[in-house]
Amino acid sequence: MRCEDAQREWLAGDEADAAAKAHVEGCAACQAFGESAQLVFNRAALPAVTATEKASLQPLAGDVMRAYERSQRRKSRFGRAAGLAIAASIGAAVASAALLPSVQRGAAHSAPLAEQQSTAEWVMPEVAFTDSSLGPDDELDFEVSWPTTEGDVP
Amino acid sequence: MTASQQPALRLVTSSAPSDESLCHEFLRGDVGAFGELVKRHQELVYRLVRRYARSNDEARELTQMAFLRALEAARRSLPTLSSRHEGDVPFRAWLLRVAINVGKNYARDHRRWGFLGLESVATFASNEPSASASFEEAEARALTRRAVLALPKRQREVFTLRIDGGLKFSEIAQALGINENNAKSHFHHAVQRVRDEVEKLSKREDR
Repeated sequence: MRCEDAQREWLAGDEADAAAKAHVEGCAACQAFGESAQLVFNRAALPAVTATEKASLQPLAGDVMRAYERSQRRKSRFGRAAGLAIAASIGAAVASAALLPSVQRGAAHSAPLAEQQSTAEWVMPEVAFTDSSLGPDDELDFEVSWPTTEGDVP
Repeated sequence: MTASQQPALRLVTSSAPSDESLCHEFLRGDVGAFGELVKRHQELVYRLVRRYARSNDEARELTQMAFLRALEAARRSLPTLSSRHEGDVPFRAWLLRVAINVGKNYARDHRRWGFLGLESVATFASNEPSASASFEEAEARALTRRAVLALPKRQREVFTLRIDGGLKFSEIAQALGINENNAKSHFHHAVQRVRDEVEKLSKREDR
């Protein structure tokens, strides 16, 4: 058995096979490796969990369940809001689709008229004042304004 | 009282139900069964995640986070796991994987790989005659733990599951989805690497 294979197997502790253990016991290089590995384990290990830490974990199950319920409620609220938003946007899309053809039709009808308006020459109709009761000094041009009560005699 | 108003009855047997049967109860709608699973595995998860925490409170918070993640994912993941393992649910292995990921992501998000974690708060009395020796030992521990956090991902996972979780290699292999020999090889490399890294770091500190 190679040293590397023996060491790898030996690290399994109680699970290690007998051949590997025997090799390490009789091999100085593997024993040195074993000692350095043990030092690594001792130094890498975290301190044991204290009684205080264990006690702090007692209510954990309840805390987890409550946090889960909160997150589910939040998700369902978000889901409802998202559903409403989606429904509203679908409604808006349907309404636009329904209105679009009539708007387009209207545009189609009004387009020639607009063209006519833009191309037609506007002729001011001539108005003949034939009221013979008006004399030459009667005021014809005057400012038009909304009637006010200003100046009325009480 | 109608049938729907009757409280759910749970069969009480002399032996505790297995993880697998609790998982099946949970999947049938008994959320309380998951609470049992939390109580059963909370200490193990706590021991694993505190490697990534700076204080007891932070470690407890990470433990809760790990169980919450597991609970949120359970309805989706456990049936898939069960079908992959011919009806068995390797809940513990799956949970440990979730816990390691939570710890790792937490450390990444807080950029604490360089941080020594909970264990760095090595207390020693400076007025003791062996203060100098205690200081050196505390330094050595700090260097070793820093080297553990600097291990490549898979080696670190195997190492922490073995040292912090105290898992057998067969359990580590199951938790990480690798074979047992592979787990042993990763552990062997991790030990060598930590040892070499500590030597290197201590030489650098001596200069």
